[in-house]
Amino acid sequence: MTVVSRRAFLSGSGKVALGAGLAALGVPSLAACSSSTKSGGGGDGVVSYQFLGNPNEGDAAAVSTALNAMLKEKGKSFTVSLEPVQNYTQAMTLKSSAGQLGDMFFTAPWATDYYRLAAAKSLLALDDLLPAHAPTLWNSMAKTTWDAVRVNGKIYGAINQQRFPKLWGFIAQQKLVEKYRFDVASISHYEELEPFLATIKQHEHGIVPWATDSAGNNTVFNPELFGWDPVASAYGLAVRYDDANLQVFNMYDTPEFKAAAAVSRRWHEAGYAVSSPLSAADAAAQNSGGKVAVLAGQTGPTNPQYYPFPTVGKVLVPTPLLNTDGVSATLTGINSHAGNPEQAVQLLEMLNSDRDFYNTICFGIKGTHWVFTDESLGVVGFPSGQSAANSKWNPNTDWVFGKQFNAYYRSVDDAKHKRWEAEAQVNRTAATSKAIGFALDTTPIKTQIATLSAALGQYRPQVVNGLQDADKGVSSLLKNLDNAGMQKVLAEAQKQLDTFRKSGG
Amino acid sequence: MVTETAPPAKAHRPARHSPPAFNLRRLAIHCGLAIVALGFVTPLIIVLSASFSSESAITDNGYSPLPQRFSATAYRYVLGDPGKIVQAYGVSILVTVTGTIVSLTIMSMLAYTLSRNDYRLRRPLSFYVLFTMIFNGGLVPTYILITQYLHLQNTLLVLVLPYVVTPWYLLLLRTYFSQLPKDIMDAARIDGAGEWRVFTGIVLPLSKPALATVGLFVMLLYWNDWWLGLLYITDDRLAPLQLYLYRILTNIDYAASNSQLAGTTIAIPIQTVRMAVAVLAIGPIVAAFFFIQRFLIRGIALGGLKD
Repeated sequence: MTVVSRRAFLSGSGKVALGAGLAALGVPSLAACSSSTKSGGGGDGVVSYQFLGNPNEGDAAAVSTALNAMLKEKGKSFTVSLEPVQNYTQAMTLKSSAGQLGDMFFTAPWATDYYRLAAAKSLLALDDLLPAHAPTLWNSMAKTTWDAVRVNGKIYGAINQQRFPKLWGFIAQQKLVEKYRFDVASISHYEELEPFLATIKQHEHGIVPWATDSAGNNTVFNPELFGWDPVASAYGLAVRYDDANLQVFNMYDTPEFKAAAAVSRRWHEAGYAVSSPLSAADAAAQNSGGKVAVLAGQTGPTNPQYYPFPTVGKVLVPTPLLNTDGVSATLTGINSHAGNPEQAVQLLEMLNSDRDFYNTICFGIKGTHWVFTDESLGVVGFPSGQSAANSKWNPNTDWVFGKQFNAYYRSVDDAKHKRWEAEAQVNRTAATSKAIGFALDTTPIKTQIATLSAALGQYRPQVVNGLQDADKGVSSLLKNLDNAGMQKVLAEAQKQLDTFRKSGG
Repeated sequence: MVTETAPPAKAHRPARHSPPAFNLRRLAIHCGLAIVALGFVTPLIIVLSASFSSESAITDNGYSPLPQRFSATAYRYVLGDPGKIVQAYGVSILVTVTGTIVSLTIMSMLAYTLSRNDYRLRRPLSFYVLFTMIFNGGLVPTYILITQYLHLQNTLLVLVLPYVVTPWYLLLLRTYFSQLPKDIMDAARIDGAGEWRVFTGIVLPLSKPALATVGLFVMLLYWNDWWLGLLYITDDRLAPLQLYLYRILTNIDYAASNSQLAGTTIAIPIQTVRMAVAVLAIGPIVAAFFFIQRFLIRGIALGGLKD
């Protein structure tokens, strides 16, 4: 190497070959090490499995070992390597750009953008693999259910079965319900809650009768209540579930929404909700602190549920719906570069059919991470001395791994009422939407989608929380949605729905 | 007695030695300042008190300056696994100390050379630094560079390297260096000092205020960082404190908003844990302020001026 004196860089001294100096500064040796990603793994018999992680997953290696022992026992020639990924959506977006996706990973429209990954062929089409290598999983759901996750006619994600229909209703504190002898079962519309809310308002100081939050999530209005399939709920688009013509409409431009806004307004004026709604996080803290009597939300078919105190709820959806939204909520995809996709699909089959295997990934190793608190009912809990704060394997997300109905119960009440069986029954008896399998492609209307989301975020919460006069609020919301491009979005959605209908989807 | 002797003694003493005269104007100023100071300290006190309150007390009565129904449940929850948090503190302290030393060393050397008008590479190097202030490669390319080419993911180095040179602090230092009297350096050179000697023996000691200021900024940057950890650290043992606490918080928020979905039946102290996390995150870095404070005020004023 050319020796370059430091003085040579001072402008006072004679001419020097600056080029040599610059060269000596060193061209970074980036080119030397070529891209060597573990994308795929090359079929070495290890299936890497990435999923939604949380801090209670320090023992991923130990749980992998336990799972591998079970795989070996079943005569499988591959092993699994669990890779919990924290801050999932962000991290997976980077991993997908960098080619670091695992052989198999959790995906959904709301996490990692299933549709984008499928369209980009980052996910493998599973139409042939599932019936061949995962027959139990394949046959556990109707063909129409599988249709919900088709993208351009192909299935790119295995459905992790849980309760699919959104069962909107209300959830009330059991203690208050019993104290005032409130007949939960008799309620079939939100309006009928009014006498109970009034009683709470009158007799229970320090307890807010009705929950609200600043994002407008706890509301008396949800499309499924009226048999509407929200084909793009984030932008207010819906179709009637049994409408063979698939006529799309703006769900806020309906008498039903106006009526719901009037109810919210009345309750707000009667003081059933706090005068200025809290942020979603603070509202959740209030709810779990037991400071709210009744909240709107999805509830299960069994009571009581824990929030964390016992609650009783009632489903107000007359016809539970199977639609794209509900069915595609939790999927497991296989990387299109996976070294050995057949093995990954066999792993899917194990997760969805072998109860011991599935519960090991959901709860960890028996004795180390969980114990039976009631073995006959299949209820599990932490071993003594452990809690959610220090457990080394407590994903607490059964629906990430496979068929939730195979999971052990966490509460005796769920077990006694056979919650999973009741929920599986809901899936079996739900009505299938004519629009199942349809997902709006927002690429042609990107600008309108952005302005529409902003307008909804700005004007919708006031109306659904009853902070504005119902008539005035709804008409101002509609005007702003139209200004934001609602008509164009409706037209595009209708165009796509028509194409979907003609292709026999 | 006081009324008799005090006035003459006061009159003879030089003004600056006398105790401040008691008058209304001064009282008003002090009160005003006390209120401002209280305004700054109160949020901290409330955070501290909330972190030691019981969750139900906060839900019932809101926050208050004194703990209500004293309870350490929040800390017990966050410190549930003391090994983990000690590890996280260790990572954060190691990264902060190493990062600050490395960053200050490199930035002061670079800033000094950039402050010298007779340095040939001044323009290209200045351009190189300034360019990155305005343009950067974007998240994904940066991520690919660091993980695929430099292979820095899951190393402590990745928590240090990206913040070593911050253009803005570099400019602060350069401005400061360029205001140092050139004559002292010339005198040193006549006495036989080389460039290195001038830098370490003259420039650095004269620049303590600037170095302390930038040092503190850099220290805070490293201490408060969770972003790099979020991107590049998947190994829990290497997670810095802020990332660890951030994950505890997101996890709690998640569990609170999806308790039914997740099947949780355990009451989690949400509001108090938030506060406990804030207290733990401030942690040792508060101590650094007391040591560096006296340099800090001078430093910002000096580096910001230009004649």
